[in-house]
Amino acid sequence: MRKQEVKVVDRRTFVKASVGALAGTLLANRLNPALAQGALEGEDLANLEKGLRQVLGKGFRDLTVSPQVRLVAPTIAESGANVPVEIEANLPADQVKAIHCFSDKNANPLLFSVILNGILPYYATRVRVAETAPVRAVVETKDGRLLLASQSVRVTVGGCG
Amino acid sequence: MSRLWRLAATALAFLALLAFAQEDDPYKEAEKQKRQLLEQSGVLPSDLFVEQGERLFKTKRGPKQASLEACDFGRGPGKLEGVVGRLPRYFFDTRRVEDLDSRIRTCMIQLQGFKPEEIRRSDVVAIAFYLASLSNERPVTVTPLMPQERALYALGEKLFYLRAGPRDMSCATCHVTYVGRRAGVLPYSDLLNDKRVASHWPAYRYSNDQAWTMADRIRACYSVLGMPAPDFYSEPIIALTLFLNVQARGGRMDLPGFIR
Amino acid sequence: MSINILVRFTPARPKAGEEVRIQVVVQHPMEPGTRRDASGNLIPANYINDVVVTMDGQPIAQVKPGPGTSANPLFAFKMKATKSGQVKVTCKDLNGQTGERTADLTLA
Repeated sequence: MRKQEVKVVDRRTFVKASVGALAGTLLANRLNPALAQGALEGEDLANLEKGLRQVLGKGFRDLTVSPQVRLVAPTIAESGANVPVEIEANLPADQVKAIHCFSDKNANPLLFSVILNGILPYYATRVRVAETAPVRAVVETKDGRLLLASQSVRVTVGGCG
Repeated sequence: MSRLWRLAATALAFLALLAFAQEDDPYKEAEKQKRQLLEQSGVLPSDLFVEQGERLFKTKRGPKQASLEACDFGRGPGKLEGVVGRLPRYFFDTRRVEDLDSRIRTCMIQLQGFKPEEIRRSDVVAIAFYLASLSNERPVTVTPLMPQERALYALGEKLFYLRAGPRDMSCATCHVTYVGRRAGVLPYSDLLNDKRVASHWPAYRYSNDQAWTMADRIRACYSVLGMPAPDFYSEPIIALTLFLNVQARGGRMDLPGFIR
Repeated sequence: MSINILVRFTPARPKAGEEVRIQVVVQHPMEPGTRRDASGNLIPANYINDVVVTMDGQPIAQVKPGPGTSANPLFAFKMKATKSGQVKVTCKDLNGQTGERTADLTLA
């Protein structure tokens, strides 16, 4: 009988504490918007749209977020002048036509375009990020899809001089 | 039993917050940028300057149409491995204590016949990068023994601690009093105790894409102090370089440096 | 004066079928055209806007960098090492300056 009572109290306490933990996690999530789903830190879709239209003739809504595109960049760059960026597509080499890279807050949002001919869908370089903004890798496939991967880079000293 | 569950839940909450907090540790993230730069590059901008310097060093140039291969950097003419760790030192031919930059300049004047005003700073920097690449992983062994070296070391020490200029600051203000505090994301380096600091010059600074020697670094510091910077190849530069390199004695050099 | 280029393979001597990285670094200030000098005047834009990489004469990659690419830029690619051959990298900047470098890829 006593054992039964203790068990009920245990579970309740645990549930209460877990809800507290979950609330704490969600709160931390909100405080750090870069981790929350939805808006990326420093997002500027209007400026990005200009760049996309100019280079690809398409808009942001024509891009498909794809887990097959891997973008590696630091989350904090103490120097925005040399932000290492590595892009790799988990696709057969003959399906990838080009890789483009944009950053929302650069005056010219296009960072570079690479056309690959038969080599692996990979590219690495160093880019200039003007201020805290998402860096976006867009992989253009031969069948006309535009696959997107984005990551915010927090910049402490801007890269454009 | 109930206390155990409460403890478990609290621990869970702490871990969750800790996980999110760690994502944002600026020191760790700044390290990640440098690590990614080094790992995925395979070849760094400093390699460009090393190659350029090697060409300038070995090509016959100047009115005398000679290369710099006969230059003595402290181990005898033509011996270049590890020389950066032994500079600045006294040289009998010029009767001066010379650092890397001024020794390169001396040899360009004496061996190649260039006039002092014809010497391009960018050439000296490139050659410094080349020589630095030949001293990578070597120890810093600078030891003031000659009276001229000791006198210049004393001058360097005095300049390091001398508070002057409109801000009443010295090198020690940042690098001793405020050492460890942050300027941007990186803290002021501990010049007197951290042997890696002075010994990573010449270096490529990826924050401003500049190839710098210790002389450039000292001159930039003087502008922070609000004072006119000493000229290249001048006594205050060599004195401070000597003082700082002695503090790094025993350290293993990482050259050419690749730093913020 | 031509533009300096360095080419490196990682691993230096790949085995047949192994993935090899072609890493290129180019000496260039990549002036974006938005920076000002000490007197406050705008420094005119001058950056590399075209890089072509060929393997035994066949183009394998073309890069269009811009003001958003860092100074002394890195261009790194990956391919499967199927045969030995000569990789050639050529680049051109806004002022018409060019650079060219060849490197022999030898299989282990």
